[in-house]
Amino acid sequence: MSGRVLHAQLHLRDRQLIDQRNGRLLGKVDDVELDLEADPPVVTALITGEQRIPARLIAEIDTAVKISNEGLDLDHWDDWFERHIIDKIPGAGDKAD
Amino acid sequence: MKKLLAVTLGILTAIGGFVDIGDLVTNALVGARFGMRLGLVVLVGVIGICLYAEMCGRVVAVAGRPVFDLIRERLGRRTGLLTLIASFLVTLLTLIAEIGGVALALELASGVQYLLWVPLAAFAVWLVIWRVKFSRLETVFGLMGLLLIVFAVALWKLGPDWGQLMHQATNPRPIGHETWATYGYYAIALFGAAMTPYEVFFFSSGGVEEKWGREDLITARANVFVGFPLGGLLSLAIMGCAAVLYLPVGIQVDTLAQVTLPAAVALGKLGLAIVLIGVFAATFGAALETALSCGYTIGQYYGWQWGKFVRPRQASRFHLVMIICLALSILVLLTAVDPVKVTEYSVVFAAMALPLTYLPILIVANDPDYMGENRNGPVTNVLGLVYLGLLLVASIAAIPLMIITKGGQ
Amino acid sequence: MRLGELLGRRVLDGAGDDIGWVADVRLVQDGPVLPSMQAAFRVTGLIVIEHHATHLFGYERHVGPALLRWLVHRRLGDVWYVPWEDVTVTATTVEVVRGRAELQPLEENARL
Repeated sequence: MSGRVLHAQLHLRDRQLIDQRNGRLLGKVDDVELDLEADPPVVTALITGEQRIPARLIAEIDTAVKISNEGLDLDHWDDWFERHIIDKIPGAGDKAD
Repeated sequence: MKKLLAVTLGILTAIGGFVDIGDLVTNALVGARFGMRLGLVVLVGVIGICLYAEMCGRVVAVAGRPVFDLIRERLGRRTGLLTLIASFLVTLLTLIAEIGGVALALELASGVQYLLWVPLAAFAVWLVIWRVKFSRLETVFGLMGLLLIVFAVALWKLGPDWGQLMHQATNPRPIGHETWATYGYYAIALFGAAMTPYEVFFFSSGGVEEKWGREDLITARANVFVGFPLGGLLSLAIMGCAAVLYLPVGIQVDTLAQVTLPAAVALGKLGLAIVLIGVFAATFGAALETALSCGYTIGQYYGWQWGKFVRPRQASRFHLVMIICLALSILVLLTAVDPVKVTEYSVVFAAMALPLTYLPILIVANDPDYMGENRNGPVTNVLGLVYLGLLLVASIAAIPLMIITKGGQ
Repeated sequence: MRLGELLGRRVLDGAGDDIGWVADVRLVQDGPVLPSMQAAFRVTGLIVIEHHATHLFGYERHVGPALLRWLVHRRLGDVWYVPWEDVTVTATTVEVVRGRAELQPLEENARL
C-alpha cells in the first residue's frame, strides 16, 4: 500500500492551523510529536504553543493543516483579550457570533 | 464601473507604495534635484512590484495563503521572526508618518497646526478599520487617492519642454554638484519605496479578505497591472512637476506645501483644492494600509485569527495590535518629530526586510504542492531572480550610502 | 520525541565518523488507521545533509528556479535519504548503519 508522502519539517512545521468546522484560524504548528519507539514509528501529535493536538484530530493537510477542534483550548488568548478589552469597545460585533 | 471597482485593491495598495507622505516629498525632492534622471528607477520599481504582487495574488487565489504565512513557513520560526521585526518596524514607522501626513494635509487645508489634528487623524483611521467593510474602504480611498492625477494634468498645463524631460529620463546619471552617492541613495529610496514590503502584505491579505479563489485569478492580475503602473505614473508626475518648476531655479524641496504648489501654479485654487483632497486621501489610504498590515503581519506570523472578514471580537488580538500601533503613532508624533523624516529611518529596516520578504514568495510560487499548474513559468522566474538580486544589492548598499551621504544631503 | 529535537542533530556512521545533520523526517500516510478513519503518518526515513542548515526550502525536490536550487544545494552539500531501518536514535545523535559512501543520494528518491 502506498500512501501520501510528506516531510514533517516542510509540510507540517510552521503551517497554519484551521478549524475544519468553521474555518477559524487556530495558530501555527510549532512542533511535531513523534513516537519513534512504536512499531511502526508514527506522528502522534502536533504542538502549538502549550497545546497538544492528538494526531487523530488532524482532518486534512494541505497548504494549511485543518483539524477538528474538539476538547482543545486554542482560543484561550483570543477569548481573553476579547472579554477584557475588545468587547468593551462599542461595535465589536454580536455576542452570539 | 463594476470592473473599475474590482481593481481598487491594487490602486490602494499602490498608493501606499508610491505616493504615501514620505514618497510624495521624496518624489518632489528628487525631481527638484535630479530632474527626471531618476525616473527610470520608478519604472524598474513598477515592474518589480508588479512581478511579485502578481505571484502573491496567484498564491492567494490558488492556495488561499497570504504572504506572511509563506514567510513563517519557508523561513521557519527564527528567521521568520527576524523578518517580522524588520518589516513590522518599516510598516509602523510608515504608519506614524502617514498619521502625521493626514494631519499635515489637514493643516494645509485649515491653517490649524498639524499637531492638533494628530489624535483626530489616528482616531479616524481606527474608526474606519473598526467599522467599515474592507471592500468599501478600498473603493473609497483607492478612488479618492486617484485625485492625485491632478499632478499629471498640472504637468501638462505647465507646458514643459517634453524633449528635455525625455532627455533627462534617458540619461540616468547625477548632474551638477550631485554625486553618484546621493544619486544612488535616492535610487534606492525610490526602488525600496516601490517594492516596500507592506504592499505585498496588504495586497495578499486583501485578496484573502475579498475571498479570492481560482476564478479570481484574472481579477488578481487586473489589480496588479492597473494599480501599480498607476501608482508609478503618479510618482513620475509629481517628479515631473518639481523638475519643471524647481530644478531650473535651484529650489530644494522638503515640505508638503512645496509638493502641492505646482498644482496651484498650474491650475489655481481648484487645482490646489483637488490636490489637498488627493493628498489627504492618499495619506489616509496609506495609513489604513500600514495599520492593517501591522495587524496582518503579526497575526499571520503567530497564526491568530486576523482579518476584517470576521467581526472585531472574533479577531481580538488582530484589532488590539492595530489599536496599540495607532496609540503609539500619536505618542511619537506628539514629540513634534517631523513626520516626513520618520520614513527616512525606515530605510534601515527595509534593507533587512526586503530580500527576506520576497524570497519565500518566489519559492512558494514555484511549489507544485501549492500551485499545481499555476506555478511560475521560466520568464517569471528569470525576472524574479533578477529582482531578488537587485533587492539584495539595494539592501546591502542602503545603510552605507545613507551614512556616506548623511541621508541624501 | 519532538521533531525539533531531531532536526539539526549530528548524524554518525557505524564507525562513529561524521556524516552530516538531520534536515527533515519523511512520512508516509499508510500507518495504522486512526479513529478519524485516516491512516497515521508513519516515519519512513530521514533526510540527511552534509552541511548544517535547518532549512531545505523544499529544494530536495526538483522544483523552483534552477539558480536558487543550485545555490541551496551548494550550501547544503550532499543530500541523502536514509531509510528508518538503517537509523538508530541515541541520546544526542543519530547513528546510521551504513558508511557514508553507501548512502543513497536523495536525488534518486526524490518525488516531483
